[in-house]
Amino acid sequence: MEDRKNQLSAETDQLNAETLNRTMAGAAEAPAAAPETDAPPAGGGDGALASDGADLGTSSAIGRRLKAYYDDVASEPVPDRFLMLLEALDKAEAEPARAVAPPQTGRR
Amino acid sequence: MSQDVEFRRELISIIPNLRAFAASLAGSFDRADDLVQETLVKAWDKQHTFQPGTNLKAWLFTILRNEFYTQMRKKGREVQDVDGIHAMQLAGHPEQQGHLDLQDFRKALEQLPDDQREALILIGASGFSYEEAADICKCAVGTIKSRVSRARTRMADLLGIEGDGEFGPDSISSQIIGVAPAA
Repeated sequence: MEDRKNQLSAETDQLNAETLNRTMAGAAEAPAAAPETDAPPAGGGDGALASDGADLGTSSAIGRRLKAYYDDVASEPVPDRFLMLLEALDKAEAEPARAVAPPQTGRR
Repeated sequence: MSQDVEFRRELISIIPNLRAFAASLAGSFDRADDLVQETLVKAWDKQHTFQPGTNLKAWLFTILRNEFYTQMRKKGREVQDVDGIHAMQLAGHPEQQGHLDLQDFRKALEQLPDDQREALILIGASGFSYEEAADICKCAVGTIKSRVSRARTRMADLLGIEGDGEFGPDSISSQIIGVAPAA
């Protein structure tokens, strides 16, 4: 389990670095292509296509169906399963830290 | 601490997109949600490697996609053998029933090669730019463009759509009369 985790860490680290490098390279080349940053689409995010020349917009039959297919899932509320998972991860992270830290509760 | 809260909030806001992308990759909703779960756990573990201000959505999609292909490799692509089961599982999804048009579309989508399908989804549905999609798939922008283009042609073929783009409001009637092959 630990091994697997470490391996995954390495993978993701590499992945992140790659993504970053590319993103930076891309930004330098084409400043006009505004990268989607901190505007996460709420729900389906209809018509908020970042891609322009895709010919897959709402005027295209395939584009429209593609969106319908995708939004069919993307418009569903987030299942509790995931909310609970994130809460559990949050707690799991907080608790070992508390255990390791000296028990100076409430005082700084 | 508040950074954690913010990270979690953003993570949650992207989950619907992750699920939709995962479903298009995995072909079954159970597998899709397992993929999303794996992705969330990894993203949480690795959140310190994420650069705030960069594209969290693309970062998460990349993790999910890597996870999917890692699993596929481990399983020796056994999933490929059970085409019909995929379609059945998807059709069994309560939200999906009654959308005949959608079912046709899904079947056609499943016939695309993996690389074309994911390119089509990332560009046409997830809202990524070609550059972002190329980052996610670790390939050149031109490769993404040609995959989307081939996918689009193939889909038009499979769905019997002629001159895509001029289809206009008639798509409604096609749901009623069924999509006739454009001979």
